[in-house]
Amino acid sequence: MEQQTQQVTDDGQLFDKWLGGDPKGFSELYGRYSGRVFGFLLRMTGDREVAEDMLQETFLAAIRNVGQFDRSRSFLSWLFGIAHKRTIDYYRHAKVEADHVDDTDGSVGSKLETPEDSLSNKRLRKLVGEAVQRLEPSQREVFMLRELGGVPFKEIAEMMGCPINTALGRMRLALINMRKELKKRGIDNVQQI
Amino acid sequence: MCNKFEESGLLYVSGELSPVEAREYESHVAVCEECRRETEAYQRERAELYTVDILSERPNPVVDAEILRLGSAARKASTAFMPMLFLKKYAALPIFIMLVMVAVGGYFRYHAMVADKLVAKYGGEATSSSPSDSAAPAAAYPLPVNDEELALSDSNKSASDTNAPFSKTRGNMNLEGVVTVKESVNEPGK
Ligand SMILES: [Zn+2]
Repeated sequence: MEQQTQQVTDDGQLFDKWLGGDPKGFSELYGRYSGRVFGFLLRMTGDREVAEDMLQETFLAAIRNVGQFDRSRSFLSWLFGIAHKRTIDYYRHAKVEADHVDDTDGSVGSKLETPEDSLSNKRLRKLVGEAVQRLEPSQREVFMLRELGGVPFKEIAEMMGCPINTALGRMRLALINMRKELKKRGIDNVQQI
Repeated sequence: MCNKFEESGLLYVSGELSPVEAREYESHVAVCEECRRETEAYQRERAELYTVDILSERPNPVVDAEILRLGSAARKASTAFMPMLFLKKYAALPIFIMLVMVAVGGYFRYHAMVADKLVAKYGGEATSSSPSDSAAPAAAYPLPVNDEELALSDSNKSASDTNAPFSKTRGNMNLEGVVTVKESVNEPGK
């Protein structure tokens, strides 16, 4: 919690820097959060190029609406709120079918050969990313907003226009399904890692 | 099956419970094996799997560079170059103001002329307090000053209007907007 408060303060300072015309303020905020926003967009769209466009749109929207940032809130949550809107527009306009990847299960190919295999972060990222991609979109949305955006459940419910209980229910399902998907990929017990 | 983890456990882990609620949940976990397991599993997963490092992704560096360029430039544009942006966007405004000034000036001049004619026509009783000698110039001079003030307050209003789309299109940036930013950035830099 203390760390989070500290982070918010730091963000505020960077934000002031940026508002004061120092480009370092923006570049530092971008460096700090673009990877998370992009991770969210990539998992929500499943398309790298689309996600890159949306990343740009998200940050430009942030630039344009910079005056609307409520300083009492977390900058990251605000940013994820904007990114989230991009994904809604995307789903609406592109009429994207819930992009469930065909169940030609890649679990065998990505299964760990031996227990001794140390999972590099790169590999882990790939496997976790695949598992996230398997989640039903509304579960994926809550999961990513919470875990990557650090958005409180209360705000997630507001963003998604649903009661908080619905958001919590989706999150629990997401956790259960993540375990199943990770198990298929050889990540059975978190403690082994 | 206990539903307490879903109701409170998730909020507990994410730090959204009040201290009283948190203590309440902790005492529940102390007696509910199911919730204890779920809570611990989730905390472990968060620490080891659902980390920022693992869930984050990097875009193409070209995309990074482009966003950084736009980000720093847009900031400069909206602070240092705001007056120039304003002039560019509202180039028609000064012309309009001049037209208003001419029109208002003309209106008073016309009235002064009418007054002069009246004085000439109906004789000298009113000469000392002739509108043409005192009233008309008095009216003609303060007015342009007022017009300038008007122009100033007008321009202030318009300057804040230039910000209006920024606040109104909350989270609704489109590509048109991107082009606007680019243009406005490049222009004053020359
Ligand atoms: Zn329980």
